[in-house]
Amino acid sequence: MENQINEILRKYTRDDAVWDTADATARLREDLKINSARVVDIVMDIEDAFGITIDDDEVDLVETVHELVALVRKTVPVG
Amino acid sequence: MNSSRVVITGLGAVAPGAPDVAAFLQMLQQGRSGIRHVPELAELKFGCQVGGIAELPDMTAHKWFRYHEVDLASNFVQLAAVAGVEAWTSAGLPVPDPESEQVDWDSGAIIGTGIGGMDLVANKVVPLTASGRGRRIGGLVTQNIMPSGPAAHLAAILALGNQATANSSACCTGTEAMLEGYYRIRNGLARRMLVGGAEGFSPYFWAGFDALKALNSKSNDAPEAASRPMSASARGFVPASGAGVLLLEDLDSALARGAPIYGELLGGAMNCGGLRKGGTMTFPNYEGVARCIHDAFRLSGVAPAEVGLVSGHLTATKADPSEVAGWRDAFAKYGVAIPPINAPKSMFGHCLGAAGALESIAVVLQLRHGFLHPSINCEDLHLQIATTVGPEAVVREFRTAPELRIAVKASFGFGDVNSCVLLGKYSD
Repeated sequence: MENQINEILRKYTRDDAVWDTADATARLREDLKINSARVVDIVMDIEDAFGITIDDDEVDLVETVHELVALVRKTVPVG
Repeated sequence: MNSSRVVITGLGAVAPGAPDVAAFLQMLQQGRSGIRHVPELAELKFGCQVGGIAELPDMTAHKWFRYHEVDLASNFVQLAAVAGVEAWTSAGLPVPDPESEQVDWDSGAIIGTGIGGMDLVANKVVPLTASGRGRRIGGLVTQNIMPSGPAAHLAAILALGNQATANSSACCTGTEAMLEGYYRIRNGLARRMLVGGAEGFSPYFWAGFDALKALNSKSNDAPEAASRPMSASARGFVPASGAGVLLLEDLDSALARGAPIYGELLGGAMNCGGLRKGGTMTFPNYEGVARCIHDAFRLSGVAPAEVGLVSGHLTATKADPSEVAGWRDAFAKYGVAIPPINAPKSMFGHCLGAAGALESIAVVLQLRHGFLHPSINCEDLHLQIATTVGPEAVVREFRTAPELRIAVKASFGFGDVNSCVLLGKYSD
């Protein structure tokens, strides 16, 4: 799942160099330099990839890659 | 702050057939057409199947393109960003490091558009929304269709902290933006303003003009001869996309930092004919035009006898002979014969909201390099124009003009709006 989410995030980073130092604590905007407006696109891609619907309010709380992964993990049906 | 004189310290152009100012200068000097056949228009059964399409350079090579807030998703925003950055860097100013938090509070942008991001609206917003998938249009749409999108993205790239906005007045948009920036600097509210206009390409932009039969549908087999201002065989304008941006700066600021000074904006005027006395949505009230030109002379302090070039609006419609007569009368009022007149649209078509700015850049280049560009495609000069001003007044071949000091540029637009600027060669 992490790899799949990272692949989606890579589509929205402008500079591959940001991944040299990125880990799960990387912040989407400050560290990965993702345009603030693209979060909705990232969520849309994730929803398509995992067949889920993510709550808008929960998205607002996400700052890091780890938090995004955790939110998706929580939302994907178990089993 | 010496805000009494406003000089032009930067130029940026993306025009049909000319991706930057250097190529634009060459096009003007050579009298080369940037108009071509547009297959999409033919497929869509347009009457007019030719146009001027400003091609974008590869922007990904630029460091600013990697700034995370810069996602350029509509054509007018893309064109404006390229022209705006060219204007900024040609002024000897650096593009700030995307990581820097420093804001330039003295610099702003007024970049207008006639139509805006209709390409994105037509290609994405309408089909997705109409099919019930509006929530899937993504995060880039709004800031790329809003008229202030160019200013917003240039502010992001250049860390502009002064006013960042857009204006819109149809074909007057570019010249109007110049005057808005001029007054902002004259009023001491900014030191530097990027001003101009941008218009993207999309058949959807041009469909309305085609439906109005305002476009030339008679030259589809001869694109380079299609834009024919002042010609007896003129049959409508040729639509075009592009962006023109000038950096206006107060003289003290320009001198203090040793900026290149490409010219001076001496002043100008804007008005509306009130859609009376013959004025309609698509045709001017000539009293309004005359007042605008008169006010431009008065407000800039330029004596008409000092003017060495008229850069007309001249779109290649039936309004051309009346426009030329209007210019003759405007000068005759002061007992002066009309100076040479040329039509920049003969080469690159009508760039709509970008026209006034791109054509003003053409004027600045003529002043700076001492020449008059030819009006191409008017070998068959309209008889009324020939008798009104004499064929010699129309610049049909390249002319050297080392003595050229001041030129007047006017734009007239839908909604009966007029704007007129006086541009000069800089001298202290």
